[in-house]
Amino acid sequence: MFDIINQSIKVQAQFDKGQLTPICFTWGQAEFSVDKIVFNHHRRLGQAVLSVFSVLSNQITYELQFNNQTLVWQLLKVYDSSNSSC
Amino acid sequence: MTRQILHVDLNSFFASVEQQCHPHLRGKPVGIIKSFGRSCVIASSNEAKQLGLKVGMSLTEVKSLCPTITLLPADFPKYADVTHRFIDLCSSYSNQMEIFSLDEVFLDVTQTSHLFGGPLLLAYDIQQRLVTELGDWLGCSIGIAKNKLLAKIASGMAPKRSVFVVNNSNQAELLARAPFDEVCGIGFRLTRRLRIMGITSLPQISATPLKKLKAEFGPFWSKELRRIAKGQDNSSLITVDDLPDAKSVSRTYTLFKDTYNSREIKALIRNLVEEACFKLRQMGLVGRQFGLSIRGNHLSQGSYLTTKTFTDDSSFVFNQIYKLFNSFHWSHPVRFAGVWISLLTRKNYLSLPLFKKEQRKAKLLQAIDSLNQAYGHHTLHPASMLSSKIIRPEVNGYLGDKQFLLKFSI
Repeated sequence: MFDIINQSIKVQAQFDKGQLTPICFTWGQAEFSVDKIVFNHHRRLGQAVLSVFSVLSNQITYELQFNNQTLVWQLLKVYDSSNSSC
Repeated sequence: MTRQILHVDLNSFFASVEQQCHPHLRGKPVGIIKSFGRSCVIASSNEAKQLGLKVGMSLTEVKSLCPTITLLPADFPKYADVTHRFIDLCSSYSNQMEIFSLDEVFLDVTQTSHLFGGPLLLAYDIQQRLVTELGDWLGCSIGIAKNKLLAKIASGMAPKRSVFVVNNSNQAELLARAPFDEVCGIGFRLTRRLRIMGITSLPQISATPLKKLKAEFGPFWSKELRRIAKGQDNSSLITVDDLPDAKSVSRTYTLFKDTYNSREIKALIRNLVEEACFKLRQMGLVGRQFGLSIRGNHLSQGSYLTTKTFTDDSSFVFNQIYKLFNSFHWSHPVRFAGVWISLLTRKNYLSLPLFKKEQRKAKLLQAIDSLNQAYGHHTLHPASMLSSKIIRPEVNGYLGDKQFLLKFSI
């Protein structure tokens, strides 16, 4: 159903009026453009605020996370819609 | 003036949030399990419910009922964040708000509904904002009535994503149709006892002579049942500010498999005590009664002890509770442990510690809490917890330890 990745990735993002919006990201050698942000939420790790984005790129859902203390982006999970049992 | 109470209930909360995050799951049956390795579902999507899936079903039952179901592990921090945003949204309509659970709030809009064009338009506005601000797959049902009891029944009876207004003309019909599991106050046991008496609906309760109800349920519950059956409820909303201090704090955990390993059991109990005491310290409370409950091999044992002095010191509490565990002479495997602390009072009601040793201990606990708050729960933890995987705090749907979660956590 989904693969846990937990790898640091490069992300191009826009910071505008307090809003953070990922635009595209590079994972391995491939570049992915963010077609749509379907959901985002925040969670805390101690004092750090983690912004988690569920984004669609070519019909596949990726979960990206930004840590406001370390300024590191991570790719957390990739959801594969072709296999729906976990 | 007739009160205007709204009960706002997020539809299939956990599963809808997951479907919001993963568009390919929308319109499909989805079940939520606590984590991989757990054996029952704790929530499900509308599509799964339509196939007959119920909370608490085992995975075997679920798979046979719905072979194509997608099972996902619960992500409680994510749900807590959505709850936080949901509460923020609802609080913009009235300051009289009771947070009933992770996905339900009561709103008293008697004084504010005119600002939004009346209670019905206000309810539609909540539904619209929920979709635009939280997510297009997140819907809510809203019941509007003159009291909390009727508003909750109405939202439960309303079709998904709709508004049900209870007035004098439809109240009797609503009460006649309401199954007991939609009625707040009539739980599983009362339902069973009522069924034995041949009572299956609220009007039947009203029609039953009070004497007969008294004989079965006693003086208190016979009157309560009569009141509920008539749809009467004078209770006011309990806002976060109205919440009294916690009467107890607790933490329970079910292991993935049985264990006889004494180090693992010790680490489990210590872990639970650490979390309970952390909650206590955050709320500025101290307790002097400590309880433990152990289950395994279809057997259970529980006990508690009371000390003369109040404390929030996890080492002290752990020593008391571990003494209890040793007194059980438990020879069976352990699958579940629960600890609780009660007879609580506010720490600032007590005199300050006189002795250097106690003062140093208090400072140490303060330093540990500061570090754990800065770097995450259990960053610093006792060595006895090293032998097991650390159990982290989690939120449950019914808001256990409500005072801590609403005032100090969410």
